[in-house]
Amino acid sequence: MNNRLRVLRAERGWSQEELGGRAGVSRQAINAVETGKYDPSLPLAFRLARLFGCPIEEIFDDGE
Amino acid sequence: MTGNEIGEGARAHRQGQRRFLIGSWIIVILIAAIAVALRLMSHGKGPGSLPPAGALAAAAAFVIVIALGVWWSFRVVDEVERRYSLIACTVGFFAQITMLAAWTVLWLGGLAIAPSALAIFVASGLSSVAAYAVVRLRG
Repeated sequence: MNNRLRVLRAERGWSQEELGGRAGVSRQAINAVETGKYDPSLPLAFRLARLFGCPIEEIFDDGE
Repeated sequence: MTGNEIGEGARAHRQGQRRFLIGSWIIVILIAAIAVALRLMSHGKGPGSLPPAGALAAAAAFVIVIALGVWWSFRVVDEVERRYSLIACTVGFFAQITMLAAWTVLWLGGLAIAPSALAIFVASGLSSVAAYAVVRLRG
C-alpha cells in the first residue's frame, strides 16, 4: 500500500520519533509504515489521520 | 518546532523506550535470580535433588515471572513489534513440533538416539531468535 506519511510528516517538521510518540508507536514502526513494509492496523491508521487532520484516504492509497 | 527541539511526541517515545528497557531488565534479573537460586538449591542431579517446597516455589516463580513478563511485554510493545514477535513465536513452535516428529521417527527407525527435550527446546528457541532477526532486518 502506498502512503503519503513521509510527506505529511515533513510538512509538519516532525521526526519519525516525534510522530511515533504522538501516535503511540515506535520510530521503527513509523519507518516500516513509511517504507511500505508494514500496513498499519485500522486503529493506527485512524490515529495517524487524526494527527494530520485529514481522512485516511488522503494518507493511504491501496492502488484500487 | 525546529530540528533540535524535542517535541511532546519524541518525549513520549523516549519515555516509553525507557520504561520498556527498565521492565526488560527487571525480567532478565528475575529470571537470572531464579536460575541462580535453583542452582544453589540443587545438591545433585535428577529427581529428589531439590526439596519439594523449594521445587514448588521455583516452579511457581517461573510460571508467574514468565507469564507476567509475556503479558507485560505484549502490552507495552507496538503493533509492529507484536507482529515480529508473533512470527518468531510461530516459527519456534513449528520448528519444535517438526523436530520432535522427525527425530522421533528417526529414533524409531534406529537411525538416531532418543529425542532430547532439552536439545529440541534449545533448537526451537534458536529458530525463534533467527526468525525474529530475519523479520526485523527485512523491515
